[in-house]
Amino acid sequence: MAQVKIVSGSGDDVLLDYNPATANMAEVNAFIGNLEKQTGGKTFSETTGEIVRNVTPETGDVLHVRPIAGG
Amino acid sequence: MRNWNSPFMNIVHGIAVTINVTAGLFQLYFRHGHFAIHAAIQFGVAGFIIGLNIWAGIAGRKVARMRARLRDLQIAETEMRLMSDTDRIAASQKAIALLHRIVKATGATITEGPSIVDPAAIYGGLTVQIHIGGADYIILVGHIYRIREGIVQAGTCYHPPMALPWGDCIASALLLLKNDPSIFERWQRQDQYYS
Repeated sequence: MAQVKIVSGSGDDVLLDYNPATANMAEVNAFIGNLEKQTGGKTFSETTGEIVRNVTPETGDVLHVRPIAGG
Repeated sequence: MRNWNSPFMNIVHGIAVTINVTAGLFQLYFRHGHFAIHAAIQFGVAGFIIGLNIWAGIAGRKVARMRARLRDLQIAETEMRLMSDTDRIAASQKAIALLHRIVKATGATITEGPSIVDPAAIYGGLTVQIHIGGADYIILVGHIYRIREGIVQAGTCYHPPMALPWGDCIASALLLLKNDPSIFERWQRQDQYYS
């Protein structure tokens, strides 16, 4: 199972659990797209540490990070 | 600032702009006396009111965003305060496990003990360091330092939008910095949230 997680005050929370072999990846990508629109943050692969623009069955767990203020 | 964009003020400003524009047009149509100057004054006043409303709208949206983020932060801090010690420890351990995964994924390193930016190890003696584009970045909770040729060249603070366990705090900053090193300069400019 792969997960879409978000960093939160209780550690990382799992927002979405899906089976990469059977899930509709378009729906997973739409979910992540909505999340990014809501929070203004970015989603990263936990395996490679790179930004994930399009989730595929091989991507694995991803982590959504909210924007961070400077200063 | 809050009252500039209320419906009542919008109506008042709308009426004022209409009166001034109409008066200016009358001046130009009837052409009595110094009509050009009078018309310019009328149109100037209308333009000023319109400009003021545009500025208030933009500033008001920025204030509303900041208020929303402050509210989120206050809610998160309250939730953390209400967490039991067991939950707090569990959250911290989850965050540390996440940090180790992210450090491994990004090619960063975790070192223990005093460092060049924390010689007394007051930040728990745990430092995350990553090499990006010819410079080393040391990431602590809330602070990042850039080091070139063994010298601390620059530093900045950063503030996640909600209260996070320290492992999550550093993991978030590490991911953002690794994928976009220019965020370091934007954090130094400290004028808004960046991702």
